[in-house]
Amino acid sequence: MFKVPPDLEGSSVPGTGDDDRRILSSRTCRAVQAVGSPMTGNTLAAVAAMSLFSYVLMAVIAMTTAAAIAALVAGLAAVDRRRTVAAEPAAGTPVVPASPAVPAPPAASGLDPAVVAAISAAIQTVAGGHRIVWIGEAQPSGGWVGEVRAQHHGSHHPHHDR
Amino acid sequence: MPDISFLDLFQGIATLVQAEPHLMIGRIALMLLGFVLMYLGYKGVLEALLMIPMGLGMATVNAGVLDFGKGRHGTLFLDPLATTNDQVMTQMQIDWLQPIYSLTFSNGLIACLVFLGIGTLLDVGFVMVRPFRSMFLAICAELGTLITFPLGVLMGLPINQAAATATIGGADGPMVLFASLVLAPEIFVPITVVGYLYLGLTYGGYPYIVKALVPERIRAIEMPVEVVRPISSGEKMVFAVVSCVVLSLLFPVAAPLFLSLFIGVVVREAGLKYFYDLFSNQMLYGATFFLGLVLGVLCEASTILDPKVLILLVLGILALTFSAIGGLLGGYVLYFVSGGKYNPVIGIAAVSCVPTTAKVAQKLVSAANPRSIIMQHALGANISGVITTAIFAAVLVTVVKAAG
Repeated sequence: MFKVPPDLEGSSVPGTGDDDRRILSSRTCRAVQAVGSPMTGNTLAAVAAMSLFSYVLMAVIAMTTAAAIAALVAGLAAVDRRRTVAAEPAAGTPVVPASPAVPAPPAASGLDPAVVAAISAAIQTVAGGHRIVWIGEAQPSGGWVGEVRAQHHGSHHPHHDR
Repeated sequence: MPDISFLDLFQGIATLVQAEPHLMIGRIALMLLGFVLMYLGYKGVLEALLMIPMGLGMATVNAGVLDFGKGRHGTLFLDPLATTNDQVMTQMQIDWLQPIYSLTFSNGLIACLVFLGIGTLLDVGFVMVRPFRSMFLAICAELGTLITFPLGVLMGLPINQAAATATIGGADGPMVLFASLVLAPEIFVPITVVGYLYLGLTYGGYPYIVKALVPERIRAIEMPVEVVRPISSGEKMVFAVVSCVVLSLLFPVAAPLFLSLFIGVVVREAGLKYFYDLFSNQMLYGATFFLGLVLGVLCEASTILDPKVLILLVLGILALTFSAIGGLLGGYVLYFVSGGKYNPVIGIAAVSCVPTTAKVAQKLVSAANPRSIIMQHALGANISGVITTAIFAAVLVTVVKAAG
């Protein structure tokens, strides 16, 4: 906790009665506030201690926030996992024999199979061995986010737009 | 033909030659500084969005000083010294920027509007993926505020003014504006002007600090590929809501800023497209424009020429330099802890100033190694920087107010 040098100790913050909140007496602060008043080593040390106390408190709160974020992310991930497991068939369930071949889902309906094959091959080459589940027109919803961000990030070069 | 002298006809020139020498030189110097800011903004060295309106405002206000009679000089822009209700109401009917100043600057609304806009641009997912690393860097990048506070007192500033000036080290414009309004309203104008001037400089100045402290071989480090679970919008919203309420509970004095920042995040993650468009475009850029313009207009020689400005100029640059060094030191700590796999340049992005420092970090790394992509790490540190700056400013305000 923040400690005040013995010669600067004053009364506690009125109404608190809490030693930990004893920061600087108003007498000391008034002395510090007087512009051009002689700066003693003690008052400077008190202000340096006040700065350090604030810094440490900020660091503790920031790291607590980080821990809370980590806990939140881990908790939500666990919930997500549990939901996924619950959605899967329970172990020991008799395996249903494979049904006759069903037509493929209408993932790329309206497209020439040759085009689908070409796109799939291109994606496979670039993205690696992932399963392609759907091919279709790009959703425009993300565009405006990217547009605004690009606009903001490019703000240092406004004349380049011309 | 009435008998009218040249100086009566052109009052701007008349007030210039009639002014005391230091004011005359100050006005001319500020007009020239305005031109320089505009030029540097146009060339992309400084933040154009702020510097162009600010530079023109600064040059114009120092040119447009007129005689109000009885030897009183002033402008038709605004009067920051109007304090009583009568004075403010009178000035609002005369000075065209007085309504903006009195109704959005004096109460911190403009800072909140800018924060709201910034909130819509923040993807908190970057912090949520690597919370400890991002927060650690952001804590290190507050070194400037830590050192500048006692330095300010050492240089003769009262404790409240030194604390307000130290917040420049957080490199967050709205936070500087807010802290100076709460802690030291008497020098709010010079602190904010100096703060924003230097924040504009980070884009041009920080690369030199990074190049001086991080050799090219280390700048070129590629971050290892990480498999991370994608963070959903719902998770980001939970984070924003919890953070907003808890931080407001801890520091009610900064609650307006917390709400502004996190409501921006929530609007973005909730997919409220119309609000998003409004806040991230019209509101953010409208507020930024008036912020730059009013800050420029506040740089009228008789207002800004205060002996303390020199101290603020020195403290401001020290605060931002120490913060940059602190961020890079944090980056080096992670570099050594990870066995040389972490690019320490990311540390510079922890000096808030969203998103400028993250852009600076990526630009420098790309120049050393075009294949190295650190943007997502830099943005995580960047957003953490906003959070730690808000926390530090709130702690400082609380501690200094309790002491005073």
